[in-house]
Amino acid sequence: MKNTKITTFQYCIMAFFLLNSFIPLIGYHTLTKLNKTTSFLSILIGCLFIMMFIQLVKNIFSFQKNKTILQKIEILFPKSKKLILLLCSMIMITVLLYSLNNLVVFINYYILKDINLIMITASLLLTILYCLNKSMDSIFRLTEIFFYIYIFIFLFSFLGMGKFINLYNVKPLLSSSLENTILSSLLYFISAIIPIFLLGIIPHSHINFTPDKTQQHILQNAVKFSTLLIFINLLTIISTLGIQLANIYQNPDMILYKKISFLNILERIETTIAFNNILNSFFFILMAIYVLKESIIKIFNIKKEKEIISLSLIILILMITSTLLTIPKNLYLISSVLILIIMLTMSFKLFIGKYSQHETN
Amino acid sequence: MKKAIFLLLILCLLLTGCTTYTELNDLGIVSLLGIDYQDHNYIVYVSIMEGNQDDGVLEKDNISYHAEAQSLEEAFQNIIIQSSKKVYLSHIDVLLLTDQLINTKLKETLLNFLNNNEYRNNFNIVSVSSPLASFFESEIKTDEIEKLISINHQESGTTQTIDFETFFKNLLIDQNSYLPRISLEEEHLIIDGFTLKKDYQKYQTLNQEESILLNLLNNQITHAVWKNITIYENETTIKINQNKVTITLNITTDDKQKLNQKLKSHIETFWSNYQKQNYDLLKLQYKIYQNDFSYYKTQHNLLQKIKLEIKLNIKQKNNYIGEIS
Repeated sequence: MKNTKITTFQYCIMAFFLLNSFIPLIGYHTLTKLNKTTSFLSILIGCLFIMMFIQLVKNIFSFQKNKTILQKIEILFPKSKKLILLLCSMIMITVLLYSLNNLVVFINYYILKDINLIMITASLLLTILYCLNKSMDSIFRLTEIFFYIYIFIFLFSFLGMGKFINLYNVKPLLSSSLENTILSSLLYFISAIIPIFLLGIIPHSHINFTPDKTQQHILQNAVKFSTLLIFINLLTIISTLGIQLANIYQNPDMILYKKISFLNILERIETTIAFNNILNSFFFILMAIYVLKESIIKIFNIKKEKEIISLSLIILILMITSTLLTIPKNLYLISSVLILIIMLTMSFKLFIGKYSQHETN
Repeated sequence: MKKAIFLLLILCLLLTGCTTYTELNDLGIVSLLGIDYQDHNYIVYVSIMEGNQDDGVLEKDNISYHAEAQSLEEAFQNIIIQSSKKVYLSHIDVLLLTDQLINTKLKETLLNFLNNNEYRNNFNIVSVSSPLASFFESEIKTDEIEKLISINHQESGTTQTIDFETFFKNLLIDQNSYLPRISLEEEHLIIDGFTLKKDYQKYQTLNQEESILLNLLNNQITHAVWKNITIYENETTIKINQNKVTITLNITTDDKQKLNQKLKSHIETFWSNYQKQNYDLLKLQYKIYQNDFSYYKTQHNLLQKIKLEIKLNIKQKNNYIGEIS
């Protein structure tokens, strides 16, 4: 990684894209199946949980600001650093296989019906390999460019779906039990853990922060923005399809996109709008591969000049295993919980104050 | 440079986007689809649009195919065998279903449509009382069926256009739904009112008068003639207070007195008949669920407890012609 600065806006956009990975990885239908029309409330409660979590782990971000989260793990767990890094790598592999499989199946089902899965995987991973070969600075600039496209597509699709919205379908608002509401809120919260961990790979000192803004402030803003977008999407889905149909489809948003028609001329544009769904997963996979590469380099002490070979090997292994293995959603959730435990332990270790003042600044 | 060329050569192997393309002329666009079920076999009828270029003028023609098999996928496969074109199902406008299919394989058929991403959910579903083969042998076009239903929806109020999504959503709510019904008599299409579905099976059929009443209650009438009384406009509002449901019909008619005498009692009898049969014709239980969830969850057998009140607000249509002495 070159020593170039990333702007706070770019960092916020990357956080936004990573947090949006809730849509492909957990999905609206998981929430609506569990919590029916009360899913809106789960998203808001889940957002509060994420904010609290960011507040809780803010000491990780402020500790050793020029270090990545993996380097911080090495400092905080000197005796078991290799074991934890190995665990992180295993988690990243699981998460990557799950998200990659999800994305490839999505593309194959909705966009490239006649193309072999391995071809889609290969073209996706080669694009990621190309991106990762560039500096982090370029990747963050890429997110900024895609953000404007994302917002344009979002507004365009929202405008197209406006005429189908029937708010009566959202009633009754409180129809689910408290347990289901908490459980679905936790699901939303869990989906944000890995994105927050992935963002930790960017050292605080590499971000061009304004004096009044810190990493957790930017993260909290991204969480608010991402939650707002997911909330609007969920509202559109339930109010258009009704809760019964929203529960049936795995990607109810795609069913909505199929309905969009402007003056009966501009229609059948669902594959174009689906580009937003791809972006949500794409940046998640990209960052997860980067973290995986960094942790493998640390575990095996790989030299800088051999980084590209190790990255290519990771991509090749992922390409082969993703077509052979299908990771269940539960394993992804367990992986997120493990990352949560690692982050909370790091925060706790910092909290009990074993580290001197100069280390935290 | 050599590395770049080598990389490009490898990338060329990945460029598979154009290998499976289909020319537009090679697509058999299905506009009308009919499904029947007899002797443990699905019988699928498709009407494929074909365009022939004759002296530079494009002539559209419909060609029908049918095939049968034990599964729907297999039946479609058997149609592909007969056609020289790729059967393209994304443009279906109307799906015809027979009573036999509805009674035996409705759930499976609907699931097949849900699982196949090629379909869109905006096609209309129609129940047919005549043999399906007669529709395709008579070369009935999709437009004819669509217009018959939409014009009758607007002008006679005896039917209503119902798309796949609405039908399926209604079934998911309480396993009850209804479909417009048509038949073919001497090569002419005729509206037969509605057929009611219960538990993924055909339940009953509504005649034309009953269909008008159902459309009135569902706020689907723009013009109708009921018992020789012309209804010009209607707006139906529903108010719910626990188990008390008040339906107000704001109607403009040419015979206020006659309509006042007959309509209320007919609607009440119509509703109570189905209430006794435990068939929620107007989905009032779901409406109570949406409006008053706390009341809904404390009730058992809510349908029998519903008290329906019909309020008529009838306006006489202005008559500009004087009396003939």
